[in-house]
Amino acid sequence: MFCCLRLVVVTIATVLVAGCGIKPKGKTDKPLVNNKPVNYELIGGFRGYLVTNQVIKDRVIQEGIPFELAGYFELKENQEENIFSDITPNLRSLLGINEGNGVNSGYKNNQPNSINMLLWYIALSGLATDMADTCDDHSNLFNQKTDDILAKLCTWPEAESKSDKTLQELWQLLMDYDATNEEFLVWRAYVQSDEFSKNTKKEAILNMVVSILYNPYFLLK
Amino acid sequence: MINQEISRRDFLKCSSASTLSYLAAPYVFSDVSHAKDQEPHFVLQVVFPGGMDTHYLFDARPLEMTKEKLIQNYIGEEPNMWIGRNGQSTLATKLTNPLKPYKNYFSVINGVVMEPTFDGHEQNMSFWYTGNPFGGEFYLPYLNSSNLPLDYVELGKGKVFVLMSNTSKGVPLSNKSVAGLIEKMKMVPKLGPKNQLFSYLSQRMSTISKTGTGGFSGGAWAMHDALKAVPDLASRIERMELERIQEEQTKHSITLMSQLFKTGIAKSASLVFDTDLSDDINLDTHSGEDAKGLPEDLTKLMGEVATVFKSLKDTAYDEKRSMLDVTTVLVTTEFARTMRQNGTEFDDCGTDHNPLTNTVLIGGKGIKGGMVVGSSDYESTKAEISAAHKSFDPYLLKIMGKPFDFDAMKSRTDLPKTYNPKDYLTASCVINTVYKMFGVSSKHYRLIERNGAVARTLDGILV
Repeated sequence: MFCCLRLVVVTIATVLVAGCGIKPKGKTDKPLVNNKPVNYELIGGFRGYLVTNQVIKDRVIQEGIPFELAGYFELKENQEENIFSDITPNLRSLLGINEGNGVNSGYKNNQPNSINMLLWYIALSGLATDMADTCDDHSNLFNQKTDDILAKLCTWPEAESKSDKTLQELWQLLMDYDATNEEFLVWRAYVQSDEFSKNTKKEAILNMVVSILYNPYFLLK
Repeated sequence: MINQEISRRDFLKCSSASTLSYLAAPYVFSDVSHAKDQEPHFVLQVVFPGGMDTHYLFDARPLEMTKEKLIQNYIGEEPNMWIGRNGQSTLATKLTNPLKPYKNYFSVINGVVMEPTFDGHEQNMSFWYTGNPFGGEFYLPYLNSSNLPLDYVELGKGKVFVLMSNTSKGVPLSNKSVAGLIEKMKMVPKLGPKNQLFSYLSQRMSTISKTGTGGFSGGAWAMHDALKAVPDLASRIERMELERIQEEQTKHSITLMSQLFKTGIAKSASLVFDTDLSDDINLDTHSGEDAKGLPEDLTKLMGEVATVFKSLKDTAYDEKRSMLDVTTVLVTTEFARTMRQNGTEFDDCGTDHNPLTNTVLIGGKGIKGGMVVGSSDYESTKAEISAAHKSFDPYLLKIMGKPFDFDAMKSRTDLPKTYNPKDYLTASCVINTVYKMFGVSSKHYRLIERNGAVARTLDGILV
């Protein structure tokens, strides 16, 4: 008797709770575009480690300086000991690589998942940290154009560091024409917000750089 | 803008629901606490690519067949009887000795028919992974019903080439790389939901995903979806404890897998050995030279399987249970091999591919250990061979799985005239059995053939 009552109460409550979600007509859990759910069978992949590394190299790294984004996976204090000598290639392969032979060859590990998103964050925040560190200690890693922009950013929180002009230059340097102008305007508003102004100098530069590079327009094909 | 006007009907529905939810709370919450106590259950598949010769292991043949030049055997010793707790038996060679201490941890499934109309490596490996010789959806992601950060992890140095469409949450990891990652995580600025940068990135990915309906939008949504799991994944990785190692071995893969399972990062793993045309071991023994190396190579590999069971048994899941108590283990290869080769000297011959049979070892959680299930034909020089077998193998170079009685869990003795997959124990039956254990929706169950019935499960091996 008690079990029946329990079953009835739970069932009715479940049905009603499920039915009372006030959703607009046609709403689904997936985002809608022109009232149609996006077809996520089509999941675009990352452009991959090699391309992304080359793009960053071309845009910010001084010519002739060896640079591997995956170097940020290494533990600096252990690099000489070479304890984790296979970390870099192993983790790098999770960011999108060409693999296989013949009909089985293909572009592997390029679809976003939580591991590769974490790895991209580690690599990109490593680069951003190196950029922020130039405020205290000049590095010969970056090209002149990058150094010039970083010099302006290093004046944070002075007006020049967050001026439209400086932010446009940083965006152009890192993103080039990969994203829409609307995306730039949203990013600029984020950097110029009151909330963002609470960042320290290093946090500000790190967040500016990561928020550009960790964007789908930069990472995806 | 979304129209969120609340009608009188919605109001009444929600008020009633709230009241009844309150009344139901003690019952519902008691179910929740029950769910929390739900038994942990993981899966490890161990794969030996190349096509392992099952005649050298748990589906051996008497030496009289070698003397009659029917089946090549470079061990040169009579195999022994491997008797199952269910009263069924098979012949096993001495190469299986490393597994004897673990005999009751697993059951032997013989006579597993793969994809009989294709004898390629890729097609049969695809058949195991996806149920389709041309690829499709991998079975392991279906086991991740609790939406853990990763569907599965790939361990080991081996590779399989299977076209699979649902692998976005499956990643290859090694003990070394994760050990390094754990250290690195401690030095990276935290990224979490309360973090301003995280909120901005999440919002941008979500917005960009709605700018179109193509792959780019889908990718942005996948980034958004994955980003949500990053803070949780990062904290789980930081909680892991891995030793720094120089040389990656099987026991290290099991340690890594156990940590990934225990920290709730994944519940499935695929450990693939480098056994297909590798420098050390080549199971694709077309040449006599490679085939002659099998006694030594397979002793090593059975030692690796023994290490898997031992490591799982020796690794604690909690105070009461070992990892073996909570993990189902499957050991397989893409197909067995022919008994000999046509056109080469018998005393110097290798073997070709044989998808008409295979052996799968299955053990651990949910499985009755120590059993022998299924068998294959051509078990002696006098064996009668069915017309169904001959239709695939007119020169009688292969052995084939026997028809199977799924209710009695025994091989049948009849000799079918034609091949009908519903009469046979196939790879699909094994996978459906795993699905059943994990409560996977029946809509994902594999069919015996295109537009055919659902492949039967091996209920008799389930605890």
